[in-house]
Amino acid sequence: MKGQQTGIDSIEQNNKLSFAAIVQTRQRMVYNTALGIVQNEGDAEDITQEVFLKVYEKLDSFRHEANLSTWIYRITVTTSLDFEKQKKRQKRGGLLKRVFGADDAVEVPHFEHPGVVLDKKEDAAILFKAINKLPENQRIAFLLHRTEGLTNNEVAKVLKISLQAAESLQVRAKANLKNLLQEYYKKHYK
Amino acid sequence: MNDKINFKVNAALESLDGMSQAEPKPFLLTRILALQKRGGRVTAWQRIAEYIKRPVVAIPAVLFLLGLNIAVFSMKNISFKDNTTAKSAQGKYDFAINADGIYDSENQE
Repeated sequence: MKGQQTGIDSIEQNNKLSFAAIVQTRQRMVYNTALGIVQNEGDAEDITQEVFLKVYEKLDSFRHEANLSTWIYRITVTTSLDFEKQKKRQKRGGLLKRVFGADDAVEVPHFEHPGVVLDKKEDAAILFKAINKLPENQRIAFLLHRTEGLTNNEVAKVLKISLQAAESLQVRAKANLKNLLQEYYKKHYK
Repeated sequence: MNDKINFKVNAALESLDGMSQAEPKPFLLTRILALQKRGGRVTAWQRIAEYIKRPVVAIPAVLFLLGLNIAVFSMKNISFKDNTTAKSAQGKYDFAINADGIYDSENQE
């Protein structure tokens, strides 16, 4: 009995060690993906913690059908999108908005990605605002490709779509972003 | 004008080139393990409980409740005293009535 217990303990210890290794090697990846989606550092921190909790819970059920990174990317994307939806619901449910019947659209706050080169920060902030206005699947595909450097093939695996679909999402995302940015600069450029 | 706008659009689209990865705050693993021990994410009710437990909130709340109790108790005492004086007055009055009755019965005889 005691031997069995020690066996279980050692498995648990091994799990903890491998989990620690996963956190160490993938924390930037998870944090950056979440940061790109929610565009808020505090929220991205919370999401990162939640993602790793889910990873720990589901590590035993991970079947190695997909790459570990792909699997973690998938969890990160779903967790971030859920978090974002929850936050939007909370904002929409605001008493003042209900009383005064304010616009349903959620205001996009100014966001500066800490990893962007200093002289490009202003342009990047405008780009992130435009990215926020893209349809969900285009936004995720674009962010995974541009901020995480994933190939279209990897994006397709994360989103569980075909390679052609992933490529099409990239093309449409770029075209939409161009239009959104043109509209923005026509309004604001002096 | 259009050229300038196109230039700005392209600059914005290329602004993510050469970006580096942002880093989460240090000791992420420790925080995750602590969260795990606590049983996952903190719910809204747990947050409220945590807030109430803070000494800055808890001590004034306890003092307020104590004050409220003392106030209610002293008000009851006052009303109790009023009651006893009223009752004693009523007792006297009753006695007077009874006494009248006695005299009436004496007079009849």
